[in-house]
Formats: sequence, C-alpha cells, structure tokens
Amino acid sequence: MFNFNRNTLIAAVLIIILIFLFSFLYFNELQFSFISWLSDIIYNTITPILNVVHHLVETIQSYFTTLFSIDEINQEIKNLRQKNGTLERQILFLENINRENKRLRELLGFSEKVDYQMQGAEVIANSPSIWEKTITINRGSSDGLKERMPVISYQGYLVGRIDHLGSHSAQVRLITDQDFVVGGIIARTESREIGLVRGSGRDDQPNIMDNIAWDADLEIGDIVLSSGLSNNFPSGLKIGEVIEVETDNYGLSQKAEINLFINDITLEEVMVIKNFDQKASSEAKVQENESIEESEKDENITS
Amino acid sequence: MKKYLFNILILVILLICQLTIAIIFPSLKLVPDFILIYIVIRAIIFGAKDAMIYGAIGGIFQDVFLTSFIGFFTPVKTAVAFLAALLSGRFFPENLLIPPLGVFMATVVHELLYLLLKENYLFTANYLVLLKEIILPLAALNALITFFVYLIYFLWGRWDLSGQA
Repeated sequence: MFNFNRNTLIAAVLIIILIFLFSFLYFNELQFSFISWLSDIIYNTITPILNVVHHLVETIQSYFTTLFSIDEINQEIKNLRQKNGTLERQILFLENINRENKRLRELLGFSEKVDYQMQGAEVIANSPSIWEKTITINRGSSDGLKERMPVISYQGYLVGRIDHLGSHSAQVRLITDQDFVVGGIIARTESREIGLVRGSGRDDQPNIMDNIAWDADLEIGDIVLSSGLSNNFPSGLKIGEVIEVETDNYGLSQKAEINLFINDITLEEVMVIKNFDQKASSEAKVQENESIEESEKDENITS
Repeated sequence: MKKYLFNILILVILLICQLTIAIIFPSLKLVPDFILIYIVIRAIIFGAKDAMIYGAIGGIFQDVFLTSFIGFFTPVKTAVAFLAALLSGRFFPENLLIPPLGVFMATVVHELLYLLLKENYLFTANYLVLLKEIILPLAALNALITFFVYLIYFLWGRWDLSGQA
C-alpha cells in the first residue's frame, strides 16, 4: 500500500533505534557529560538570540506605544508624581514603625528578619509546549542563580521555581504547571490551615489546594500564602485566593480551588530570591514559635 | 551539508517564533506548533527520511527548552513525521486541502502521544475535555496556518515553473 524505498526504511529504523536509546537514557535519568554539554551548547546558543529578539520587539512595541498614547503618558507622569509624593510621606511613617518593630523584637528576643537578596530578570521566552508551563528568563548561573530558587513577581506573588540553568538564562517552572506543588497556608487571623497547592496545567483553570483537614476553617475569599514548611520556598509569598471549597476523599479531607494572583498580571519581569536560606529560615521560625509559646505560658500563669 | 544547515536554521527560527509569540501577544491562549507544521509539510512533500531527520532535530530543540536534551518531543515528533510521510506522493499538489488535513491529524496524534508519555497527565487527565478545549482548537489553528503556508509554497512553485523567476 505504502511504498517506501529501502534506504528510507533503513534510515527510519536507525533513527527509531537512536531515539529509543536516548529515551531509555532519559527515562532512567542517566547523565552523560557529552549529552549535557551538547544540550548546554544548543540552549546557550539559542537564548542570546531570544534575548536580542525580545529587546527588538520591546523597542518596537514601546516606540509605537509612545507614539500613539503621548497624552495618556503625560497624564500618567502627572499621576505618578503625585503618587510619589504620597509614597515618600508613607516611607517616613514606615521608617518610624520599622524602628519601633526592631526595638520590640529586641525586647522579645525575636531574631531579625533578613531581607531577601533579589535578582531582577526579564521574561524572554515562553514554553514551547502547551502542556508544560515554563518561562525563560534572561539571568543564569553567571548572575549567581541556582536551581530550585524561588521566583516571584514584582508584586510579591509566587511565580515558580528555577528548573534548569544556562549561563545567561534560566527556565522557570510556573506555579500553574502540573508538576508544581507548594505548601500553602490560609492567611486569616482565625484560620491558619495548611494544604498543598498543585498546578492545574492550564492557564484558564484555578489551582487546587488539597490535603486540607476535614474540619478546617476555610472560606471563599481567603488569601493563600506559601507556608514555608517544605523548605523549598520562604513563607509568606502570596499565591492566590480561595474561590471554592469542597469535600475530598469521601469527606476525609477538603480541597479548595485557588485563583492564582499571577493569572491577573502579565509576566514580563520577575525577581529571583537568591539568598533564601532554608536552615536559617526554619531555625528563625522555630525560635519565633518558641518565644510565642513562652509568652503565652507567661500570660496564662499571670492570669 | 548546506541543505541540512539551511533547514536547521529554519527550525531555529521557527522555535524562536514559537517561544516568543506568547510574549508578544500575552492574551494568546493557544500557541501554534510551527516546528510540527514544518515537519509535516516536509514529510508530505519530501518523504519519510527527510522528515524524520528534521522531526528528531526539531524535537531536540523543543526538548532543550523543557528538559535537559532528549525528552518527549524528540520521539513524538519523529513518529509523527513518519506517519505524515504516508501521505507523500499520494495526492496531486493542486489539492490544497490535503496538507492542512495532514497537519490537523498530525497535531491530534502528536498531542495525544505526548500526553500518553507524560506520567502526570496519563492517569489524571480528562482526555475528552482536553481534546475539546485544547487539542482540536490547536489542530484547527495549525491546519489554518498550514493552508496559507502551503498556498504560498504552491503559488511560488507555479511562478518558478512559469519562468518568471
């Protein structure tokens, strides 16, 4: 029925054998330095081109945006100047609060919270597959990035983690990817329930937070933050908002649909948390919890 | 050698287009698989051997941006190139609907094969929903692009034959 000549069939068989061989190596996670070297060469050759294309597109876009919306830009500059004045006043006010916070921390013996060291990066490419939710950023190992570092947006929303590194670029696995799991905690004074937030694999569908206790106090509109229990992410990063709660595992647990905050923004620039020290963070948390428990005990004794 | 380098360069350009199109148009829900379109058209026109080589190379390029070298795209794209080559030499070049139809079928097979190989989708995915909401619209988009690409290729071939080049 189908006429393939002999050479074509030999080539086909050879290619299939080669592919199966490489697939076998991939599935068994066998690492060969030559393959890694070749992969790095391809990756590090294409990403600079992507960077150039990105800058070119951005320049053209910004030129036309400026050209067609000059009045809006002028109005925005005026608004931003006003906002800048207000924010400067607020900074002065917050500096006072910060000093007071430091003094109280010293009094209570709480450890100092260290500011994260951030590395800003631009998103230069998207995923080549609709099933994998990844982005490529223009910072890599030469900028001090390492695999599994958390990535957040400028608004402080959890974006994902670094999955693969090149010398001047890195792939970030997004929180929406099916392989992505992060510990979440409900940010409400009366409720600090924990669960696991899993990626849905779809941009148009909410993530699922499951493994929540059956009697957990969860409400629609609750904000979900990273719990920091997994030691892969710092605690307190904003993840999303609960939009639906339902029972799971025949009533043995609950699960919630989480509308991710990053779905409401366009990912153009992100920040990588470089100095997130898992040990220091967990030690600080333990120390803080112990201090709270001690102070609670003292309160009980006095009452 | 020159021919291979030229085709690899085309694959790199198509990959860059595929990676950046969603950055340029953030509201885009589906990103066309330009590499798949190119491979299927090559398979239909030039046969299995040619298409399988470029299928494997295109698959490696895509895998490099997802995993560390050969992943799922390399075997899947090569297999799809082989299947698409079954259409090679079986229709008149004037029939402009066969290549889009081939790409439509190839996209469906490509995405289903990919899902079957992905461990986290294999047992949890609702295939009917994915087929309806993602795979079929993507296949239609790829087929539409193929129609225009093949039309240009066909007209260019006619123009070339008529000696006006």
